[in-house]
Amino acid sequence: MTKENSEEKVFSAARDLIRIEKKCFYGQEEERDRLRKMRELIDQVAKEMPGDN
Amino acid sequence: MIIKSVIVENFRSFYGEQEIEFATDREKNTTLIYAMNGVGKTNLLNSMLWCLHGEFSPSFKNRSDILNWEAKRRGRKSYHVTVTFDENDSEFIVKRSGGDIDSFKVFENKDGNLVEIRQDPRLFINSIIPRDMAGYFISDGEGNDLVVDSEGMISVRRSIRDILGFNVAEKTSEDLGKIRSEIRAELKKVDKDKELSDIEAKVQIYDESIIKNRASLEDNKGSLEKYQLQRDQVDKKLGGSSSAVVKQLQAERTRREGERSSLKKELRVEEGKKIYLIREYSWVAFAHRLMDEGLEFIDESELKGRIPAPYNIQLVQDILSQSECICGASISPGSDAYERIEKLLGKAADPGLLNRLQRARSSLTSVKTLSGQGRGRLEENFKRCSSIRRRINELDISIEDYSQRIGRIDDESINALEKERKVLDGKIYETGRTIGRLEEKFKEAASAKKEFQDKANKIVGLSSRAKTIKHKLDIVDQMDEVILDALKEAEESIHSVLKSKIDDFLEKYLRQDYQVKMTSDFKIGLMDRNGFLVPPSGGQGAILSFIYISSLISIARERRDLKSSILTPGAIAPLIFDAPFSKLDSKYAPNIAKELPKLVDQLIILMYQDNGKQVDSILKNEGKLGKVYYFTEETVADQGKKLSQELVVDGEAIPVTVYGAPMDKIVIREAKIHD
Repeated sequence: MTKENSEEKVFSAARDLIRIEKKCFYGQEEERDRLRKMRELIDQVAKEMPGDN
Repeated sequence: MIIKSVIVENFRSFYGEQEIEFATDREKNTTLIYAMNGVGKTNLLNSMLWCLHGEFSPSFKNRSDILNWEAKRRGRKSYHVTVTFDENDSEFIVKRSGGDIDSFKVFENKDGNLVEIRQDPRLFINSIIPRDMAGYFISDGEGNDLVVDSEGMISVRRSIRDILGFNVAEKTSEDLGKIRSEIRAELKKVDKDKELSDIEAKVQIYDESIIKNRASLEDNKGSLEKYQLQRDQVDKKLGGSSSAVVKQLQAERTRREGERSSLKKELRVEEGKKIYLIREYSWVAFAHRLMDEGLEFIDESELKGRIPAPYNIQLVQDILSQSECICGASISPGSDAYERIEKLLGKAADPGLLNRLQRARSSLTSVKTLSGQGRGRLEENFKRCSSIRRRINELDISIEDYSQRIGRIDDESINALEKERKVLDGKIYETGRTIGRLEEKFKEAASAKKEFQDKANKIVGLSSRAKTIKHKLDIVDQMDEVILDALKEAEESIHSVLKSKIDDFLEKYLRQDYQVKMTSDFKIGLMDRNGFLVPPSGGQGAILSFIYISSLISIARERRDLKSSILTPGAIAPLIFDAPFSKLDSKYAPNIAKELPKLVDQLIILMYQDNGKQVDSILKNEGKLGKVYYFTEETVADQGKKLSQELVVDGEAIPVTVYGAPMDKIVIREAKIHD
């Protein structure tokens, strides 16, 4: 994965996080659902992106 | 959100079932609803607010008396409103009943079948058009959520944060903080050497401090805004006092406070400039004393050598290393010739050294030039700062004097206001200081966090599990950085983006009369051609509210459609205005009518027809008029000598009062618009 692709991936995931947040911000979904969805998204992105270590 | 229709049944002035289907076309996006005064425009607007949120606009009276009186007379005991809207390509139907039946349900139209949504309908509606924000979109023009202060300024910070979704982005960052803590706890379990987890524990402390400071900063900024508005209200009361003396003293004090406030801003800019100048020229100040000595010390002539150019040290070294003279004679080490040539090294020029010294000389010479320049600029800056400080001191004394003079006036209400003002002044000062301190702490924590993060990145020899967790932590950090950068960029740019949007509007239509003024603390106001803030009375406050809220929605729309934008707008709903043109001068109404539909997805205007303002013909000519409805008042009374009331739509006269009807009621009808 190139640096540009990684940046794009992070950018798009950050936008998805905000979307998840927005759904819950005004109470549409419960907090635990929101955090669970966020964790899942982060795990998925971490798997798809190569680590430097 | 696009509202498709509303059905009102036995709600206030509407007997039986009445329906309006709004214009939903993207081009012809405006629905005009005409009604005589007192016939039910505000009732219709409130029926929608009530259906969505179970609330009414602040100026709506007799809230417990909603059931239509004719319906009540005929034994009906409940009233109902249904709003149908589209959101993200799905159609939703909201049904609320009041009176004997108390029910609130939301359905989704799935291929013609109405399926009740499973989640709490209140929360669902709140996620589409949040309750806190409904007042921005559905406005009765009287008590909307934008408050115009005594000077004619609207404080817009909260609405910007709500509509552009800054609050949501901040909450996301906060949530990432929680997830980060969980990941760090996981890391602690697997990092046997504890080197990484110790560093991460420190980063965690700074993270928590950053989140805490950010929340506290927001709270304080909100409080500051509130105190300033409260003080504006007090000033308004003092300025409107029946006593001419108080009025005059207050006007003088306000003028001086205005001057002091601008000077304080200027002083902050100058102080910033001072830091820049010191950074730019401080090295010159230190180097200055060394300069003359240095220039004397560097004597280039010694280094030029005595062997005529181009002969230099290199030539001599080459001859010695090759053991051969340029004439071809052999020069063996130890021979007389060798030693004579070797002695030349002391007199030959060294071009490398010469070059370095020339550069040193040039640097020292530039110090000479810069020291003069720096001194001049710093002296000028110090002079300006001290002159501003002097003037601020004079103003402090003078303002205090005016305050004392107002305080000595023998009037209880004036004394009470003055006391309140003093308390608010204290709060404003303290809150301002707290904000400054928090901003400083915020910067410090961010820089310390960065330092530890850099250290963490340099650690080698981690276990593969620790590496995986660290990788996840890095991803979270990167996401958070993207969100915070976007937020920072949006917050910094919104000031100029919004100003330019409003200015565009004014330039096109009202420039000759008004300009927008926008303060750094997000207050906007209209200035007349002489640069004075226009008082909020009359239609100017209304102009400002329309232009502002429409411009903000327009920005939110642009950002929503922009792929590169990360922030999700809080809500983009139709603008529903009750009587927006009633306070406006006839010369402005057509222009405002021309521009408003361009800024929003859907516009619904409820108004009394005033032919002088030509709203419908303007909208039609602009290709924005989608639908026109009107309210007819049917009454059992005889016409007698009363004149027939009518309105004209698209050149056609339509009676809006029908006498001798079987019952009293308001009927909503659609008017034809000819292409």
